[in-house]
Amino acid sequence: MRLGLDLRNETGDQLITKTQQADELGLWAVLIGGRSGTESNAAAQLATLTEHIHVGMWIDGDSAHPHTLAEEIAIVDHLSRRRVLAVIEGNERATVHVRDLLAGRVVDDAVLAPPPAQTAVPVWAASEVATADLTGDLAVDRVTIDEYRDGGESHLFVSWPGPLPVLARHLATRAATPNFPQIVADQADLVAPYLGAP
Amino acid sequence: MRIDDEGLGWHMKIGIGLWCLQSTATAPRSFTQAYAELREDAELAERVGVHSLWLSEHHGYYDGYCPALLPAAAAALSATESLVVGTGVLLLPLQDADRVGRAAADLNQRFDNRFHLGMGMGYRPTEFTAKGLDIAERVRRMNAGLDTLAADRPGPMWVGVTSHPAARRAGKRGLGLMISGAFSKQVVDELVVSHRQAWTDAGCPGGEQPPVGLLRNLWIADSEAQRRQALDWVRSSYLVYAGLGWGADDTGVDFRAQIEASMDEVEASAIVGSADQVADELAQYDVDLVIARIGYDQPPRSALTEVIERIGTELVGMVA
Repeated sequence: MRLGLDLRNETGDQLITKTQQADELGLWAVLIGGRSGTESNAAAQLATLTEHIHVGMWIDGDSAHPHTLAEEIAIVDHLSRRRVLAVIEGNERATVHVRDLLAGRVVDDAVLAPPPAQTAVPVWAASEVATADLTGDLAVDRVTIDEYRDGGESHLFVSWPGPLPVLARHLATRAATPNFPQIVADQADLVAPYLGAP
Repeated sequence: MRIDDEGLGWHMKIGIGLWCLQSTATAPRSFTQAYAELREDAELAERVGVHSLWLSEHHGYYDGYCPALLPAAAAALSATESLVVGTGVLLLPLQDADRVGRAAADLNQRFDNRFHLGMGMGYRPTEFTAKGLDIAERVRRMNAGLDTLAADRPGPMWVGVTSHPAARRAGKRGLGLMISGAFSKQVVDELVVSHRQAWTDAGCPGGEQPPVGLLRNLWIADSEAQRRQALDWVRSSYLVYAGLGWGADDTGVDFRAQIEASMDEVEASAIVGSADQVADELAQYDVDLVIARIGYDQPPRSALTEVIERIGTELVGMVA
């Protein structure tokens, strides 16, 4: 299971700083939100300020024509060099419409130009995306991660109140495999401690 | 030319445009590379002192002409610290004006008020039908959208115009006038008069005379061979517009049917020469901003970056 960072409640410098740190720490993705029309601005900005992390856009499917939404996603995909993903809330028909356009299909006699950079941009309905609010208490959060991972989720976006290095070391690793050797994270805290380590 | 407050000289800002992020039949390229070069070009423009960089929009065209200007603007703004980035133009009737206003305000909040929202109507029926709209509604939607945005004022705003009704549409709302690229000086002057008259007749909304911008095909060239080359690039770039089916109201030219004649019109209005010659010619125009249209698809990248540098290091100082 891939672990992404849910930053929908972050704005401004905090959003940028956390995204850049998550990028440096090798986290898979961030998920950002914002009022309709502003989420693609934020995504484009973050795309230019990072190198590797995927930029997930949480989009209100009722807020604009699906063609407009697909166009914005495609442009951010180019700006990010194939790192965009989208979660569309609300309108299921919009989700299908956006997904089909991004896949290169003609919809209502219209085609998306330019096509996105990715062959298949991940476009999920909000109901398909698992999210969890972690507590910062690793003993509790380990259980949460295990439950989602063992429940068959492929991706999980989490809000995280603690230092991001802790999330990367203890929980992103744990999410990745069912038999995570906890000793390696605990020992890492000893041999390579970082500011804010538990 | 625009006389400054002390009457001592004239001011004209120089921007560059139009970045369309295409991969054309003339010059195929990677779209992802095009967006990477947008950021590089913005950085270069800022470094050499260019005032602004302007983006242009179309939808569903074969060459991927940029359909979503605001995220592209966000990327260029993110790569720079002082450069103004604008839309020249965003097709307002195709969008929800409230959403556009919110996104424009967000860009200005995010990037120190460096975003300028230029808006136009659009003219391709297919772009309207792709969004479930009827092109017959475009004037009504444009006026309603401008009213919404003029009330909200999400930042500096311009209206791209090719006709007197459009110039009046901008003037009576106190919005900047952005004049399309291929008009003669006489037509430009007449459009400026229409804009200012409409602003005055409306009771001077906003209190300060709204600015006038002029898009102009422009290149700095030293020799006759370079000049001819630049003019050929200008001409060939209008193949894009021929394909789009564009025709400006006041030229009387049907681009699709009269491609050679229209290219002659474009060439006649282009300003190509040494920086001195270009500056002298620009001095004849009573405008606040000139957007040098240099974003042609044919020139090699080295030629594009060289002319950006020369506009910044040579031309800007002559007109500012």
